[in-house]
Amino acid sequence: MWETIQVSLGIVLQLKVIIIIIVSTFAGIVIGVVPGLGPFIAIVILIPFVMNLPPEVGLMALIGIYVGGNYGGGISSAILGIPGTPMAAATLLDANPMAERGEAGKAIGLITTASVCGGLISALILMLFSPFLAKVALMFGPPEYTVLCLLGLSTVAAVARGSTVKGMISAVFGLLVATVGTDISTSFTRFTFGIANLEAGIGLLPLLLGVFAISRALTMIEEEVMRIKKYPGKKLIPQYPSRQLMSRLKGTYIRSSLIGTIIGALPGAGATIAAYISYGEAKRHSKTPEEFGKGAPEGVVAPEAANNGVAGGAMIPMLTLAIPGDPVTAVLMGLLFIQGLTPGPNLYRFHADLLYALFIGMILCNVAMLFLGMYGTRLFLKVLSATKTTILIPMLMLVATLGAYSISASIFDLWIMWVFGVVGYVMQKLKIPQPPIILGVVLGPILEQSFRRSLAMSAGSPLIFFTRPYSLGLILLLGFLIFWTKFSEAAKKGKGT
Amino acid sequence: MLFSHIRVLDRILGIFLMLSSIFMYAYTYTFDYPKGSGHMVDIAFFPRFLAVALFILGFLLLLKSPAGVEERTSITKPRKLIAIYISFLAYTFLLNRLGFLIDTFLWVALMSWLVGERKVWIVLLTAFLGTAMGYYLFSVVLGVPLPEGGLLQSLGIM
Repeated sequence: MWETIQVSLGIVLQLKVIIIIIVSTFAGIVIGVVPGLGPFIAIVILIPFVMNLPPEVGLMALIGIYVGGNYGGGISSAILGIPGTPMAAATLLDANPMAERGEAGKAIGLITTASVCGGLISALILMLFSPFLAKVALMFGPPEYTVLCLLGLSTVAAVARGSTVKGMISAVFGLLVATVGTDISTSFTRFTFGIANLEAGIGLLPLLLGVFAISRALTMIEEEVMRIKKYPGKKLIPQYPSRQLMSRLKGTYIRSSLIGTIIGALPGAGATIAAYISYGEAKRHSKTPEEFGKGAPEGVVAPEAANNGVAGGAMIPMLTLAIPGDPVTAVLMGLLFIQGLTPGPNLYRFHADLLYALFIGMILCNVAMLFLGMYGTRLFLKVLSATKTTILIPMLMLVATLGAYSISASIFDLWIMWVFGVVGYVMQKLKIPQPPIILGVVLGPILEQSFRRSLAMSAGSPLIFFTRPYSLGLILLLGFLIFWTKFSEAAKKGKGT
Repeated sequence: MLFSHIRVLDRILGIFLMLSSIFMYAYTYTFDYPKGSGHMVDIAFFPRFLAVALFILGFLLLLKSPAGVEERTSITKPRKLIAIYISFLAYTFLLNRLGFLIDTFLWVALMSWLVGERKVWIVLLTAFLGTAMGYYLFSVVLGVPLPEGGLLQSLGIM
């Protein structure tokens, strides 16, 4: 292992990789600060740029954006009162009131240190425990993969805000889209409607860009989300939390980071859920819960540590079991496939140096984030203030268009993107969650092939899913999670009334 | 502005999903593959299962009990959105005809104008910078072959 780490350090500690880490983390922060964008869209749009780069460079770039973007949304929440990312909505609850009463620097300091803490803890857990999980993963066969896919899909559907049915519709739609094209096992086509271009299936990138980037641009135009306010003019000097405050908050830092890492490791949960759960836990543990919502430091630290803890946690199932932990890792997994790397136990066996380089890179991204956050925040806000909607939206559309086109140099992919842009817009209007589509598209082929292989192994008997211990264990976990989510929702509603 | 109650739209969506799923289920019988090939679960099984799932979900959406507060959704700028969306389609349609440089320049300028920019120099600058950066990054750096178009060639420029 130490030899592997040495090789990995050699991969990471190259000037170009260090520069990529710093630049991508900075870019992620800037993108995360801008409301309506978020790291996910940035990653989707930038995949065409990075997929031709060496794997270690391309993945570092996307991880930097992911880590930085998760953090950047909190800055916007605190200073502008607008969540830069959906997961930062929980941060807004206390960070903005804190900034409004003149403690903007303290809010930024808490957000920054919490994000770094969450990111570092999850990266360390990823580095230390993912090899163990990889060995366990070798015991997983098609039945276990089938249930894992169901776990991922149902977890998303179960926690879909507002409507479980709509969340499941989104996921099933994604699964159906994945069936379009040529079946991997038999080479026969499905749902091509005689269109030759559809025999290759619906491209993941045009679909993602359509559902998220195009629809987001349409809603941004419509709602004028990006009407940039002038820089508030308040002095903004990020402040490190005092030792006394850090000591008081250490439990919140660690607990929230672990919550984020664990929830991140559950396929389909995501950072937003982690942020809200962590916020709730912090309030439950606090001696002054009445201060929450008015600028409580715990209320700032908890969601930020959790949503950055998700980054490492979500990598665990993606890297070890080829099950993405959240939509971003679903896209990262797609990049791995594009570069010829198959997530799973064999990734540890044949590409361990690259994996450890990734873990070290994540740690360095978080270190870079600490310095960029504490010393570069003013620059981010000036960029935000200076960006006009009339420039940003056309540029975003252009990058998305070029990104979709560049995959196969195919105009057809642009048509796909425009169609799914409408689909994504309609989904937003009807409050249908969009992320489950990605899980459906990515997990669909895995689910179907695993299921068919499972039945082939058992001569058609579905009992195979219940007679294998790991499969049965996952089924029981699936049932528990669904029950726990519904129980928590009911308890929350009961407390609210 | 166009608006409607989400509950009404949900019911329309529910009916749409049910009808779509019936169509998809029926369409699976047109898949051209050797039936009875011995596979326990053939290529039509999964799409049919999903079509049934979608039908059930559409039905559940249709039956969803009304919320206490009538939530609404709206399209606040339909004309602007339609205009911008038509510009997307026009850009794609003309891409091979005009070529990347001309088509992109015109499109970015048009988008900037439609989104609300009224200073001509900013519109032109945005279009120029966007086109130049897009061309440099994708064609030069990444080596993606961008359409050259027939217009410039027919004029003898390219």
